[in-house]
Amino acid sequence: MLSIVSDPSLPPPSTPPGPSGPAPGPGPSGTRGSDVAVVLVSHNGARWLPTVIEGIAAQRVAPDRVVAVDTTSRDQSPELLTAAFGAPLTARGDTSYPAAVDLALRHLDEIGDGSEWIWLLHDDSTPDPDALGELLAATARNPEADILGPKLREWPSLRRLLEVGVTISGTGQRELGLERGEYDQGQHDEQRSVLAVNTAGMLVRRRVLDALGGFDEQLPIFGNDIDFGWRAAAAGHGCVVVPDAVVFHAEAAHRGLRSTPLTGKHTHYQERRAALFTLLVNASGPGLVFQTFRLAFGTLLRMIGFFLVRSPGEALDDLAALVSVYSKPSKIAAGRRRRKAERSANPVGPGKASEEERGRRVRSLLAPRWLPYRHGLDLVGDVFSAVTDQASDVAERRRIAAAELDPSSLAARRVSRSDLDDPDADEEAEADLDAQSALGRFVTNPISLLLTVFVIAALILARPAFGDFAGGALSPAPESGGSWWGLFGETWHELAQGTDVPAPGYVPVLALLSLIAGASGAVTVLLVLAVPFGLWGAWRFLRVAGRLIDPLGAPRWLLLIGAAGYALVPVASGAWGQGRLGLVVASALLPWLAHAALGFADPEPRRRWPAGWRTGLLLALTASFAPVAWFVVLALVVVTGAIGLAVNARAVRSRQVWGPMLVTLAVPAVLLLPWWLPALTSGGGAGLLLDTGRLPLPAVAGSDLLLGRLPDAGAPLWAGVVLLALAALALVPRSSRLAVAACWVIIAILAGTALLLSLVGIDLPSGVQPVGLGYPMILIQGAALTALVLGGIGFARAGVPAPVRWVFGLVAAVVPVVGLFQFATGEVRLGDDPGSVVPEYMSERVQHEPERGILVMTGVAEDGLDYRVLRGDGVRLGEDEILALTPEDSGLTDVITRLTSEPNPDVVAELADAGIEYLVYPGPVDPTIASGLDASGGLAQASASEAGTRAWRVTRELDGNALAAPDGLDTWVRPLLIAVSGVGLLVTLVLCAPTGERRRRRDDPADPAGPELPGAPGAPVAPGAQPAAPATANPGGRRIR
Amino acid sequence: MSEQSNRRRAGRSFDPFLVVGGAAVVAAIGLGLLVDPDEPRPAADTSGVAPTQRDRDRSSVICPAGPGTIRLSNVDGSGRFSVYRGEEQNDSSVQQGATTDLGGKKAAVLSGTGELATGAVAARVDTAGATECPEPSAVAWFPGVGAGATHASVLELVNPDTGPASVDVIVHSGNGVVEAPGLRGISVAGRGSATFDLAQVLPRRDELTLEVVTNRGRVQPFVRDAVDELGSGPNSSDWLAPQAEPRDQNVLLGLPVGKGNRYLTLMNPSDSQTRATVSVLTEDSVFVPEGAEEVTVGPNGSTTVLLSEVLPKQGLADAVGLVVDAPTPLVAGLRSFVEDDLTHTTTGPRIDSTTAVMVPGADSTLILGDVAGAGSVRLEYLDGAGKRIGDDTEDLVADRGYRFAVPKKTALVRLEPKGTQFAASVLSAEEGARLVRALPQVRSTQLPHVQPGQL
Repeated sequence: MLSIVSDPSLPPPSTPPGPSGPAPGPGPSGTRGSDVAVVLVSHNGARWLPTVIEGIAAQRVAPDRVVAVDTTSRDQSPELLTAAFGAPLTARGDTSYPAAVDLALRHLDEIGDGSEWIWLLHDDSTPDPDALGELLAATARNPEADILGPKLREWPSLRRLLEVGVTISGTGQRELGLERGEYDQGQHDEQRSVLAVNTAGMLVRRRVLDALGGFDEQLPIFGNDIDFGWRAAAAGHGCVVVPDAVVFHAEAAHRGLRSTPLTGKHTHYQERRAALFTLLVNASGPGLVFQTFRLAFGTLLRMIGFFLVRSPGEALDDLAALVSVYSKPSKIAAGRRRRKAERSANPVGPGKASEEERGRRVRSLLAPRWLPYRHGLDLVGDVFSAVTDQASDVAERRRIAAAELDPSSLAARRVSRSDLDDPDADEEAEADLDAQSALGRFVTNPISLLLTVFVIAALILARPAFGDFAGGALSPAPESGGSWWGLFGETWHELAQGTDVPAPGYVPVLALLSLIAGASGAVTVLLVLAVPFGLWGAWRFLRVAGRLIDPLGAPRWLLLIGAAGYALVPVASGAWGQGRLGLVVASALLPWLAHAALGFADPEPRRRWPAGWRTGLLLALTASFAPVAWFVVLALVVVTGAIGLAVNARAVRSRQVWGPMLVTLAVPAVLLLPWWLPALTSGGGAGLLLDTGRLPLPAVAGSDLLLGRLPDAGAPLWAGVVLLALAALALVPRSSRLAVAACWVIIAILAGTALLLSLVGIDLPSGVQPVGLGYPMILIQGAALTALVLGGIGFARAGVPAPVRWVFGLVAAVVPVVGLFQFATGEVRLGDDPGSVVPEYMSERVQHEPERGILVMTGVAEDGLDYRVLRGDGVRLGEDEILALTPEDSGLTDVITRLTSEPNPDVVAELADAGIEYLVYPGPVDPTIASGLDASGGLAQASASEAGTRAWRVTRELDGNALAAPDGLDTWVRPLLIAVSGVGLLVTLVLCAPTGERRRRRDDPADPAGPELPGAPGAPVAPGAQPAAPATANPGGRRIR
Repeated sequence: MSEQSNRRRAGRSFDPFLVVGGAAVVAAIGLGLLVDPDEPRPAADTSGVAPTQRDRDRSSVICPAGPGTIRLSNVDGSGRFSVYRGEEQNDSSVQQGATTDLGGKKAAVLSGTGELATGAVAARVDTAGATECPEPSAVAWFPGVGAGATHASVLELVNPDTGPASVDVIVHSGNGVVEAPGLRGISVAGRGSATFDLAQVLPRRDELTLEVVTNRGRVQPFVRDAVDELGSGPNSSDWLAPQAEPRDQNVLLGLPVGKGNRYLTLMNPSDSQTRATVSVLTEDSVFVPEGAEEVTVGPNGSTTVLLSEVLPKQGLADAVGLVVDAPTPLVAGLRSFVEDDLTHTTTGPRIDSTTAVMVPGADSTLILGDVAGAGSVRLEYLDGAGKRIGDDTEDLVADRGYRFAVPKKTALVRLEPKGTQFAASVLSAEEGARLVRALPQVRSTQLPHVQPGQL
């Protein structure tokens, strides 16, 4: 890195007689008599001024005069200016840029300076020694050009392009025509007409400046260049960018590196306000109304965008700018009148074109109409890639942080190695990859081939989930997603005898999915994509986890075994085959959750908070399908927190450590509020400890829990034993032992949590159900597979003999192979739904009339009878949990008791009042009960679908209000909870979304444009000197992480 | 020095992470194996809860269509019975213990609620015979029906309810079940009845046993049996009361005395052949007379034998009834055609609580038997107005029969068992013997355990 130093050969500036003085002399080979006066406006620019002054001094074609205007700087700017150019003109601190320029021009008039050209420079823009010369040369080549601008390059990187002319889009976006962070390699070195050039380095003919009345006072600091260029173009003046002239610009105000009374802290507000004002005052008359609406609507869209990238400040700035501009129509009108006058005045320059021609010319210089939409697409792409890449570089950042803490550590050596070797290697590899054809890369990579084969096999083997696939624990999906929306939105469900037990959390998720895929399709999508999605997540998670213990990461074959093994956990456990949708989805989400949770280990505290929100969001999604997940994570947080307190209390007590974890636990509580709160108040709280799906629920006990098998389902148990044994064996390699031990501690915590949970007895109205231990079971499998992969890395890197590695790998491969075998040959209960005992004609009759219920009764008097009430189109996915938790309707039980003991017309009438039209009694029937029902009066025998089944129809008129919500039910609570949850979701999405980092730079010591840099190591090089190494930051553009 | 280096080496090889990891493995497996959540116990498994009992709040007894009249009483209370004859309905008031003569030849359903919810006693009585009016039963056995020219039976199915009922009649002959499509899937309209002359539906000469099964709804079957010695020979008819279920020991109480033929019909519903022993019940004992022979009954078969062929004639002297024992449950019935009068004796149910039996005519005898164990019975003889005109108390022991002369003008005999159960019949020796069995009273009903089930 080179740094700038003052040229000691420069003569000390003589004490100037007045506020302006002659230029500080030409550069080494400079000439005078350029007919150019420099106007340099400064405000607290001492940081950059020495370089700027030297830049002016170094001009090979020197300006005749330099007029410096200082707007009451509080730093050494006045002294620096005085030393260079004599005492500067001073103005108040809130003097706008147009006013400052105007002040300088009046001063020039006062001292009789008749320079033809005015060269505007900022205190943070320093010209290349040839800049003025090239600009003046361009004036000679283009006599019709009245405004000329240099190529602006970033300061301090000096290599990145900032502006080569500028224009504005219909949405007010400042359009540069450059890629983000584009390096200047001469690719834009064509001199061309543009709408405007930046005032930093603008060379403008004095008479044009005068004729247009200078810059608009309404645009005090931002955007006045575009407005000026637009006005000039409208008046027929030419504006040319001269890329041979280079000016380096720090864009201090734009980047928020300094705030002035004019910018305040809201530079974005000022910029946006300027853009709106510019568009409205310069828009053509017919287009004004359209533009007015478009900008208002566009502002709303932009605000949403800003919220999504967690920039609420900028969103509010946008809104404030809109309000500010729109609330003062008189200013717009005045501005438009002024521009109209300018346009109609005869142009001073040579372009004496008609006003129409000038209008066409201006339009050609404005940004194309499609440009904003392309930007929108770019943004979506950026956000997507940022979302998918989040947290994936935690391992790298941890290593860098460790290296910074202890430069002598192994981590530091690894970092330096990776700095020096890996990026190049990566780049080379990437270049190689680019060079090869995609197909070539694919077929020569066995891992890619295997992955593809695996995914295709998983999709094919998931074929039972296509078509009519209800069965096992999975109830059929409703006909349309509308049923799910209804179930989610309503407080009172017309199920059974009416219930206020809330819909389970996954219902709105399915409803959302059904918007795309339809109701049945939503379930198909979840079941079919669960394995590939789990594979993807597990691959990503294990890759990062591997890099945490070894910079080279896990070998790809090991990743494949681990990821494929994990992806098949829901299959091997039997959850998939049994149609336990909740466990399948939770299982597919787990690696993503774990991946997000890796963010807690980020060395940068500010990255942990988004990780907390992301993990919380994924946990909420998981808990909506497997509510026990929340309790399991709570236990993990509590126990690991306690362990952390014992090991390193100070670190754990830091808000940056426990805060994000608290966020993770709080997010599901808010997002699932419409489920959890009513569940607790309506007596359905037990459901939060149950697995979702049809009863009876699986009792995951002892060995099943450890070996990852639902009772009487799934792959052979020995395969689970193999996994556990390998996970234990993974403790052997020393290099990965810590991480593997951590996995085992997690498994132990999970087992302990499961043990505690298993003590909870859950007594539902329909019988005792086991607590839902499916999720801890899957987590244990995940942790064991992670241990296996991490141990595998240890084996692979520890110089273990190849045969041992081979054996380890081969045995480990048993896990996914058994899973795949189970997928292909295991019991699949999807599609084996035995069908209803209810005859088809009854179902059809009551399908759309929930008030016509069907009472299904089983058993004999001697042993007791069970009953349930079916309504609508039967029990559909999402309703099982509600019905299971709905308290017994003792009134109905009493009616049925009397109906089955001594039926009479009065009892039948009560049945009708309960909204029951049919009674179905599948065999074996109790003849006494059946004959009693026959004899009851009020019941007409109905035909049943199966022999041995008896059925009756209630001939009494049914009570249409049988299912009406009770009077005291607060129907406003649920919408409120949904609203709170919706706002919570928005906030969570915003806070876990990748962030635009531009405005954060001020605090970022690593940022090359940061405040400490001038004079510090890595400070800008002098113009003309060897450019600095490429900086990593992305100037100007929004970086999304 | 070397000790130190050894210690250092030992220190280096000690890895706390290995200890932590190993401990975690042990803890994980140990804790995991302890996990034992509740097994799901769905409602279907939690059932098995016995029903509770509750007083009945209504009951109906059914009387067949036929000659003579219907006599009705109630031992538990007074009130108004609803009397349904087809679609026609009227009320009839009854005082406790008093006998009301309803008349009418149509089948009648007598429904009582309130005080009359239990305790109904009714019988159809005519000059040739009589039969008790029972509550409907799902299964009824009629041993010894005929479908020929000289011995023909008419089956009547009465549906007491408003909804239709469906009935299967299974016909058993000596060779097993007889195909009788016309008697399968019989639908009996609500409040209606159906009548089948077996001689027309299923003409055949052998003696049969009918098994009447009600599949849907409630129906009470009745059989009116007739014997016609063609030409100038005598003819007679009487009711054949059903047996509720096959029993290992059938006790046939009430043997009309006189000269004539007695036919014993035994029906074996099992799938294997069985042998039955016929013994004689007297007031002193039960004995198998010398010379008695066993009767062999084929599987699903119905066998009819002349009683004289299996039992020496002198054996019937002093007989209160017959006892038929077999290793498998049987249905048994005795058709007596004595003194040109037809009478059927079938196994009656045991009585366990206070009930009454209608006296079908003059010169009646109350016969008790099939005593379950030692106990006693209190008898009250009530006249038509319900007034007590006599009573009796007798200690009872098993394996003995009892005979009580019923006082004149007695319309109803009230029986109150104490400490035991027994069967009872009243046999009227007035011209044309008439036999009426006492039926038990069902005063409580089962309240099944009902609970919401799983979906």
